[in-house]
Amino acid sequence: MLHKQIESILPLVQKPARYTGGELNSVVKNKENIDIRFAFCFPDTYEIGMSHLGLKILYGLINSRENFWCERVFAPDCDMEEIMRKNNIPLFGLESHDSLKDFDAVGFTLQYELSFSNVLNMLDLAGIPVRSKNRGDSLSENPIIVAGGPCVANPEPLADFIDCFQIGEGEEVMLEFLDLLNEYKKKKATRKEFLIAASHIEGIYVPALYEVTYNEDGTIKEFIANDGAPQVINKRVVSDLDNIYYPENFVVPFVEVVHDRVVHEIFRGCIRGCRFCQAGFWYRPIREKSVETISKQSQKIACETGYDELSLCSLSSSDYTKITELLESLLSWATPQKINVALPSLRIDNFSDELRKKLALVRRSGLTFAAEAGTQRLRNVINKNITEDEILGTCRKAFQGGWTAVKLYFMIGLPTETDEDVVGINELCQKVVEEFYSNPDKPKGKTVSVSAGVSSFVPKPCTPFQWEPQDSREEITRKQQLLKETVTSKKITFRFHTTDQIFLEAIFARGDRKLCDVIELAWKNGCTFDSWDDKFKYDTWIDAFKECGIDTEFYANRRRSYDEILPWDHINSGITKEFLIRENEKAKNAETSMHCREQCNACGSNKLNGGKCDALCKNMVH
Amino acid sequence: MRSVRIWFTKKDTAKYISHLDLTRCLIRAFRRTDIPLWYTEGFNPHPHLVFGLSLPLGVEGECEILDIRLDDESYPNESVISELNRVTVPGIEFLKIAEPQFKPLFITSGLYEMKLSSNDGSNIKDDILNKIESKNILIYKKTKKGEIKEINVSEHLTEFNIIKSEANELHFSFILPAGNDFTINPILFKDALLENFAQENICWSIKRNKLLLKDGTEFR
Ligand code: SF4
Repeated sequence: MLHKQIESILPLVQKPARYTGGELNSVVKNKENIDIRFAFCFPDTYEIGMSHLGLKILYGLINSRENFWCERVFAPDCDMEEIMRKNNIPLFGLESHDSLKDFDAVGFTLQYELSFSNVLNMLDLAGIPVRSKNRGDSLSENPIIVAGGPCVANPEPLADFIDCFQIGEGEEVMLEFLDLLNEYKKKKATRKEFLIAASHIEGIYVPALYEVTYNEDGTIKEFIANDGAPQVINKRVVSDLDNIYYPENFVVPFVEVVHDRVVHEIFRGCIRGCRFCQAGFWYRPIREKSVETISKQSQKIACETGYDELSLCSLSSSDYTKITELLESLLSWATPQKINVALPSLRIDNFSDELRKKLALVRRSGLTFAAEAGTQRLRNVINKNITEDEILGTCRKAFQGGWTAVKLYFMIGLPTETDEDVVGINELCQKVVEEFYSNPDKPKGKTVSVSAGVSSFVPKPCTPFQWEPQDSREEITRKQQLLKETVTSKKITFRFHTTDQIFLEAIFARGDRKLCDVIELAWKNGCTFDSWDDKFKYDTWIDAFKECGIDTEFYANRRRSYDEILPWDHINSGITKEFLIRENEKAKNAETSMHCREQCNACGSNKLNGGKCDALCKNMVH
Repeated sequence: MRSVRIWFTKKDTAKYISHLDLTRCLIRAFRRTDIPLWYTEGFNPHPHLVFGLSLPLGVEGECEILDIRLDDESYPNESVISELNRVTVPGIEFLKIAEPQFKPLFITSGLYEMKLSSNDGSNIKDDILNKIESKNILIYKKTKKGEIKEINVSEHLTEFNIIKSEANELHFSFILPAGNDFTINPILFKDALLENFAQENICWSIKRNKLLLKDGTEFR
């Protein structure tokens, strides 16, 4: 049953089913039998948060323990927030509708930097002090605030707001953490006592236990661990995907969400090593899940949800070693059950005609390529191992099969980029158009459409480009303009990302603790939902930086030297600095590296996994 | 192939499921059962679901109607109900199943129940009853052409019966047009009754208890 107060405001808001709970497979437990209540918060709307696989896994995992209860919380949409604030309704968990204040721990997943202001806003909506230091001495006064997700590759911009960061994969560390919290809650320990104890769990980073001093130029002088906290925090890595927890069902939303289907992650990590890609390095080492496990678990979830679509996910699905076998196994039960199998990020040319036909039947959404750069030289710089011949060859096959639309993705502002590289983007698109017209059996009366999405490069921690400057906003705008001017064909359309959000993303991605004040101020001045174009307030952000005396260019547009102490140096992703420097130097010479199945480049990530890496043992190079 | 009519409730949190979302939700429910639902032929096969009359968002239903087609004629009716209840979500309960007697387009009105109460204890009863007495309860509807049309609900309101009456609470039942040709949304009726009160201070619930044919008998 809904609380009366919530019930009376629901008819006043858009899509109220986002706030009611009660969806299929959502978990309601009896409070009386629960030791630890956990609120899993996704700092964006329901539609986005409910699409997130990590939430489904951790929700199921925590609820699989009888004495724990995990609920879901999303950022209320603006109309809901306004009414909640007006009527003093605190942010609540969707399952119990109890205020977040009643929970023992509140966890945020940080998927993108532009959700940071929403974290503060959600804490505030719940009546929880946004700064860790204001949350009192006892564990009962306020929940412990935790955060995980890929953004914790550099957690520093949120250091003042989060009590504990969980670094790396959550399946194991989450339960260790909650068990410890349960123990300390029972013995009525103080927050500080608990936090010190938590800092000894591998993968838990308690920012309040560290002190940072700065040089005069604003760079970091020293990073000091107090109270016996470890100097370096190791990322957690799950070793065996076949034997780790995976949910037997998913919560099935009533409203339409972004990804509304069975999803299955087929492996973690990426063998490719594209030098701009944080995910590609952060999720290493490579670990594959077996065909049998994926097929069995997917079938179970399909059965429990009634979904009619199954999608495989990973950073590059065609690199799964037994992809054909996997697809055949999935299709063998999915097709009779009228379930479509969808495959994002896949190179279709590796498949037999028969398999391609089956897949084509289920999904003809279009042909997409992440070419990333316009010239081969620049693709070599970023180690994007796709050649023009491969792109054009696949297009040719697709055009012969009757396709008429191609999507290409590019980035501008990559290290070493020249105007020639920028113009090269259009040239490549032009060649795709020509490829279509050179096909003798092209469908009569049809034209081709090539659409190119052009985003801008954001240097990220844990990549070989972590020392590189981002192009200034003026320079990015100039390059966008240059590209627009070169287009002559009506068959080609360009879509550009706004420079303002990308600038802010670059600042946070490599930010330090000095940014905490800025985030708090900008949020107080009304910044939330920064990833939404219509809600993003660039000027308010810039004013906040100015008022806090923070030079934005220091973070976004400055080249760091290899020996500078970087704000995230104490977070050990496994990837060694030596490896990243090697890769950065190779980039400068436009030299590529082989992918992990051809040769191990000794990235170091396997050390956190007892020396194991699935790419490694498959060819025994080491 | 065999057509059957199923009666179900849409209550509690389920009343916030929009009509479009309900369709998807029920198709998925069928997919979790072994009910041999009939699918259309062709490139993109989909099941054939027809609803009696959609409910406005936020209104509960005691007798919602869904027509489906079964592929296997021998599949027992009772199993349809028990299978669906096995996999359903809170608030949606499947009540009975029968052969359809009338086409949904013969539905002309609905029997409703409305409960209104004020959160702050203020007197709402007198104001509401005065409105009913006045026989002048105006609502505004957008026509298909986009014009705004004024409708006096009193001209269409029948069988108004008070069930419970206190200063800060009023509980009553009534019949309003509901059908393919002409419908008065009971929420607009409620808004008109409460125009003198702030929305946040009012708790309300509306339930549709029956769908009726022109002669006043229950649609079946
Ligand atoms: S350990 Fe070697 S094979 Fe494994 S991800 Fe790192 S570089 Fe690739």
